[in-house]
Parts: sequence; structure tokens; C-alpha cells
Amino acid sequence: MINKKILMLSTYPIAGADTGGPLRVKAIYEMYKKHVRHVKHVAIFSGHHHPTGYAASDIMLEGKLADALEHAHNHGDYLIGKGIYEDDALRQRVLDLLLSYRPDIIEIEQVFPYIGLRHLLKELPFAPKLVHSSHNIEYPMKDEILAMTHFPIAERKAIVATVREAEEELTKKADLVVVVTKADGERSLAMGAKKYSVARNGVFAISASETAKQYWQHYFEKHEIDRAAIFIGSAHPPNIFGFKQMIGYGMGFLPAQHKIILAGDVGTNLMSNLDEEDVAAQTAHRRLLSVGRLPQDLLNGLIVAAHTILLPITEGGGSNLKTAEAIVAGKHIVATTKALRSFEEYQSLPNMNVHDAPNDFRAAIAASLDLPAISLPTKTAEETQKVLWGHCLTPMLEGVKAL
Amino acid sequence: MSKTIWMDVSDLLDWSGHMTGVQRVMYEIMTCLIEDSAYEARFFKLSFNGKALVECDVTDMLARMSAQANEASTAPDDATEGRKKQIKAMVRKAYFALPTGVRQRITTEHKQKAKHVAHTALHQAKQLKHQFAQMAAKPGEQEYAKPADFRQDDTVLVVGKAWDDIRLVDLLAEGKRAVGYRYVTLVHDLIPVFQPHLFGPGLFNPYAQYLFEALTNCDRILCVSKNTEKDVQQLAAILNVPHVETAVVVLGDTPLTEIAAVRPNEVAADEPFILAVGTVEARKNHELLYQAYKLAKEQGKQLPRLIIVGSPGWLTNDFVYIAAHDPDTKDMITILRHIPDAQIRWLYEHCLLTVYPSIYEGWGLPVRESLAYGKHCITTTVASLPEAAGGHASLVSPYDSGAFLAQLLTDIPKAPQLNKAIACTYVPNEWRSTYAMVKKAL
Repeated sequence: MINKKILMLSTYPIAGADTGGPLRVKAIYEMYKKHVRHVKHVAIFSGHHHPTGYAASDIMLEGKLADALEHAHNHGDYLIGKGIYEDDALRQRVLDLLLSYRPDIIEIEQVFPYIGLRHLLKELPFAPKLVHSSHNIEYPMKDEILAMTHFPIAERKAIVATVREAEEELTKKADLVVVVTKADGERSLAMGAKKYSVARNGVFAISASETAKQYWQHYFEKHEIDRAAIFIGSAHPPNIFGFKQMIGYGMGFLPAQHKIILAGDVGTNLMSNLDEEDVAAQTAHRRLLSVGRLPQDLLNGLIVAAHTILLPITEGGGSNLKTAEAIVAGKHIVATTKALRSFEEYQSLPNMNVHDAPNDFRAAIAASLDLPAISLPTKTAEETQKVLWGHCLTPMLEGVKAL
Repeated sequence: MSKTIWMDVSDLLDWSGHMTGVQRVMYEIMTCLIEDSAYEARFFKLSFNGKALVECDVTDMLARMSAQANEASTAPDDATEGRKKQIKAMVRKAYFALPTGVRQRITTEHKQKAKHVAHTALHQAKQLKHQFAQMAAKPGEQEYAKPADFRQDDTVLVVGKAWDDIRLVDLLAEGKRAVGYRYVTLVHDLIPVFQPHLFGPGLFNPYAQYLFEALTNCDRILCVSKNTEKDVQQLAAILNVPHVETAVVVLGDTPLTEIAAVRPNEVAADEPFILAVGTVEARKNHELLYQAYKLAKEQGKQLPRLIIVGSPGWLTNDFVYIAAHDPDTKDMITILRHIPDAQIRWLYEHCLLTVYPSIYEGWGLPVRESLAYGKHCITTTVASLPEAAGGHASLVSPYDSGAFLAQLLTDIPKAPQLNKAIACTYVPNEWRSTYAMVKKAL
């Protein structure tokens, strides 16, 4: 048991976590609860973006800052970070939290809280150690997201500059930098990190209730699906770009009884605002279905029902939670090399098909759906269990233990 | 492959009047198939509720179509034309009775949509009429209602407008999966998906669905030209279809020699004129001809009258109105609609030459028909038109009215010589040859 007091800060709650970032923070929190004497997670968050799924101890924004976040879908985390110091009410609440809890270690999830916290730390009568829990190199990702949504250029540049400054400072000052891939770790060193630990993304064990299984059985019957390939993801740009680049809307490579099912906001994004005179986009629905965001049990049920899991990621930093899920699921997998970043040792699994050319990727999807369901040898199945969170986060725990 | 070929006749069962384009192709292939003793020809259609493919007897339909094709009648259907004029007058009266402010808010798009709704309602009313007629008919006169009994070794051939009801292609795809028959479709063109701006709203989507299922399910796609074949392969690439088997069939263009030609009242016996045959729609680009005639007027050049023969189609209400009311063109450009084959034949035989300034075609049957009648044609440089022309026609950009006028002024004085050369060198393609190509590709 690590005899320390850790305070984890993020800009989103984790009680109802169902997407990448929150799931990772939840997994870290669950691990700390088992191994650390005192651990507290506090989300500083917008009630507009997270109306449910938060804990009583989380800090929901109020007043003008809360109003500002209502329409800030792509830079809310930045506004929260700034608000931690610039919004009087919020600053006081965070200061009260720090002074009352007196953490030995403050772990900052995804740099954004640090934008304001860096100033607040100077006002503390104690000096907690800092852990930078990096999920991605954030400033270029923020630039990309804001550019994609046609954010005003001058404002976008200012936001990115502030995020970069905070990220570089935190990376230099942190007593421990935790990253999800070795590549991100090397970039951290280049930014001035003293050292880093790689704690790649993992997954919780997949189990689905009978209700969930029956739901998908009925769904498959209703849509005349014999076999499905699934792609689960958020509306994060790498998911959108990856799908469009590696698969696209032209679904002519699939017979009618095989479908691709999109789950999560990636599907909602891809299937909305389609060009009405794009023949591929307008015929995609014949083989491509979007089921939107799902509660965890139904998501697990979909994974159990699937025949193939798709990982068409072609860009972006970090590593993909969905990669870990795919590995432990024991289904056919069609992935890009990029999607297997930090999971390279699984490239030679008998159910793994790695392709970086779109034509080959699509052909592999079609071929996998024609094959029988995969059955992994026992030793291989045991190897795949190493992608569970408990195993993946061990280096992080070791790093914190050494602080 | 078994000796049974099933052909979809959904489009023909209610068809009446002059057969153009798709209907003509269906009719000719169907009659050749029936006469071919190497095969057992069977026919099917989509049931009225759209839930099944049912077998049908085409004897009565063929007799009706043959009678209409050989009709010696010279007069257009005055009763039908009168009813249409009456309905149009009522619609105009209702429109102008609306307050000015309301009329101003009605856009061209609204009018197109209303027209589309009216056409759909009329089509459904015709189907209902047929259904009631079936219910009232004596047992022996009813079409078969039994499901089409496709077997694994059979061939199913679709030549018609399968995009009219996507349930037809969905059922055929489902049947192919279940039974495993050989499935062949003839694609006339891909214009609604590659040139959607040339059609009004509502056609792109059903056409796209039809082509998607055709390309992903058919064992072979028959294409009416090499250009259409190229378009099919281009669409396959867009839709990521790994492989599409295609073959080109050349459509027949033999003239309707069994009908005696009859002069339309609108054209004097000794009047020189040039002829444009084809649906009056944006894609056929009659507006280019209007521009050429305006240029001629501006330059003080004389052109013979232009006779346009064709049913009204997409996006040309403004052109028709302008051509008919412009003092420069109202006596020089005449549009004739719904005239019988006998009059079309007369027009072909007596015109100086024909013009076909189309922006895009799957093949270009009017060009070949013109050549088959021994008449020179001025057509365009795009899509399949050069292929259809086969070196026998003049080719001009469809976007250059000045060039088109120049070609008219060059070719009209030489028309007799040009026509004589065509009569000597051009060999019309028999529909039997078309059928032979279809048979080979099956």
C-alpha cells in the first residue's frame, strides 16, 4: 500500500465514464483505490456537457463560466483550465479543496487543469509532487480539432499557444510523466521531462448480460445481418479520418448479409450531414449502420455479437482504448499499424490482420467476415489478458510508488 | 446455365403510346427472346404490394404493343391532348388566383416538386386502376399471381427502369442469395448519379440505390456503350466494388419501315427544316439550339425552321416558354409532343439533317436513328456521342453555341451530299444483332 495522499484532477467526471479519456481516468482511480492509502478524484466540469454521471465531490461550474461552456464543444477543457485561476468562485473552490485535502501528489489528467492550477500552486503553503498523466500530446490535437470546426484563426492560435505553454511547463516540472505510448514518452523527453513511464491503454474485462446478448440477436435478425464488423469510437478526429481513409463510404465490397456497425459518436458523426449527391454516402446505409452511444453493457454485448472488430486509425498520438478491447475480445481484428501502437507484440496474433492500404483493409474486412469465428489457443488467450487495465497501469503505479 | 431466362417486364405492362429509349430496348429484346427456340422465355414483375416477384403472361401486352407500333392512325390522341390542356388551364387559373405575395414565394423548386408529386400520384393511380381491372377480370384473363419460380440454373435479366421501385432490385438480390441464379442487368446510363444537376430533385437517390445493388449483386452488367461501361467501372471504384463483369451491347437503330409515313399538320409539305428528336429536358441541351438561332439572327444568317419532337422532361419549362414567346424564335422553333411514330418517320425522311446537342448520354440512340434514316446528324463531343456517331456525324462542343451555329451553316448547304454518303456507308444495326450480343453475354 502506497502511503500517500493523491488528488486526481480532470475536466470531466468519471462516475458514468463510457468514452476513452474518462474510462482511462476511472481505471487509474480504481487501481489507486486498491494500492494507495488515500486517493480522491475530483472533476471540474461543465453540467451542460455532463448533465449526469458525476460524483457529489465533483465541482460543477457555475455562473458566467458555466454559461460560456454551453456552446464550447471543442475548447471547454481549455476554458475550465483558465477558469481555475481566473474565475473567482471556481478558484476559491479549488483552493479550498487543495487546502482541506493537502495532497502529497496532484495528478493532472490531460494538462488542461494545469492551465490555471500552475498559478494556484504558488499560493499553497505546501509543495505537492506533480504527476502529468498525459493521454496525448494535447496542443497539436487541440489545433487540429479547432481547425476542423473552423474556429476563428486568431482565437485558435491563442488557445493552442496557451495549451502548449502549459503542457511544456507541466512536462518539465512534473515529478513523473505518464504516457500511453513510447513515442509520446520520447516527445515528453524532448519537451524537458525528467523521465516517463509508459502505461498504455487497457480495457476492463468484457462481459455482457443475457439481456444485452438477446438485444443484439434481435437487432441482427431485424436488419438481416448474418455477420457484423464493428467499429467503436468517439467523434475524435483520428476515428473519423481513419474510417474515411481506410474504409470510406463505398460499401460495395460487402455482400448484403454482412454489415459494418458503428458504435459511439464516431457513427453519429459519420452518418450525419452526408452530401445528398454523393453516391457512396447515399448508398452506405445499405451495409453501414450506426447505433450511436451505448451503455457499457450493450457495448459489451455488441462486442460479443460481433464477428470482426475494426481499428482503422491512421493518425494521432496516444494509444487506442479500443485496440485493447479488440485484443481481449477474441474476435477477428482488422487494424492499421498505427492502431496497434504500443500493442505491437500482438501484431502476429492468429486473428490479427494488419493493413495500411485502404484496398487491402477493405478486402481483409470482407475476407474475415467469410471466415469462421476465431478460436484462440489457450496460451495466446492468456497473452491477450495482459491488455487489461490492471496489467497496463502497473508501470504508472511503480512510478508513483517511487515518488 | 439452364435454358430458362426470366425477364423483368415491370415497365412494359402499363406502357402505351410511342416507345422510346428503355421501353423500345425492352420490347425488342423481349420479342427476340420469345422467338429464340434455344430458350424458354418467362417473364416476371414486381407484385402490386411490392413484396414479391410474380410471373406474368405477356401475350396480351405484346399484342397491344405491336398494334400500337404498327398503327396507321395519323391523328394524335385528341381526347388525351384535350384533357391535358384542360388540366393545365385549371392549374394556371388556380395559380393566378393566388395572391401575388403567395405566388412570389412559390419557387421553381416548389413547382418541380409539385410536378414530381403529381407524376407519382398519376403512376400510382394507373397501378390502382390496373389492380382493380385485375380484380374485375374473368379468371382466364387475369395475369398470373404466382411467385416467379426462379431456379439455381436460371438466368434473370433486367433491362428496364429498375430504379422506379427499389424493392424490385432488393428482392432480386435476396433471391440471388437464396437461390443462386445468374443475374444480369442492362445499364442504360449512370447520368443521374454523375450529372445530378441535369435532373430535378428525387431521382438521384433511387438511381443510386439501384446501381449499388446492381453492381454488388449482378454476375454481369450489360452496357449500351463503351463510355457507359467506363462509367460503370468508375462507379464500381467509387463504391469499392472489387470486381464488376461488364459487356457492351450495341442497340438496334433500324427505322420503323413497316409504318407508312404521315406528315404532321404543323409542317408544310415543301418546307425545309432540321429535326431534333428526344425528350425536351435540360440534358438534351435544346437551349444551345435556341442560342444558335439567336446568334444567327444577330449575325443576319438564315436558318431553316427547327422542329423539336419530344415529351416534356426535366428542367425545361423556362426554355419552352422562352422559345415559344421570343419574337425571334417563335416561328423558327417548334416543339411537337406525343406525335405518333408515323409522323416521326415522315419528319426523319423529309428533314435536311438532324441535330442532337446532348450534354451527356448513355448511348445516343437518336444519332443512330438519324443515320439509319440516311440523315446527317450534328451532335456533340462528349460522353458516348462520338462512339454512337461512329465517324458519320459532325461533332461540336455542347457548350459552344457559336461553334454549333458555324457547323449548321457549314453542313446545311451540303446536306444532300452528306446524306447520300451516309446512305452509302452507314449500315443500321438490327435489333437481332443486339439480341445476339445480349445472348452471348448471358
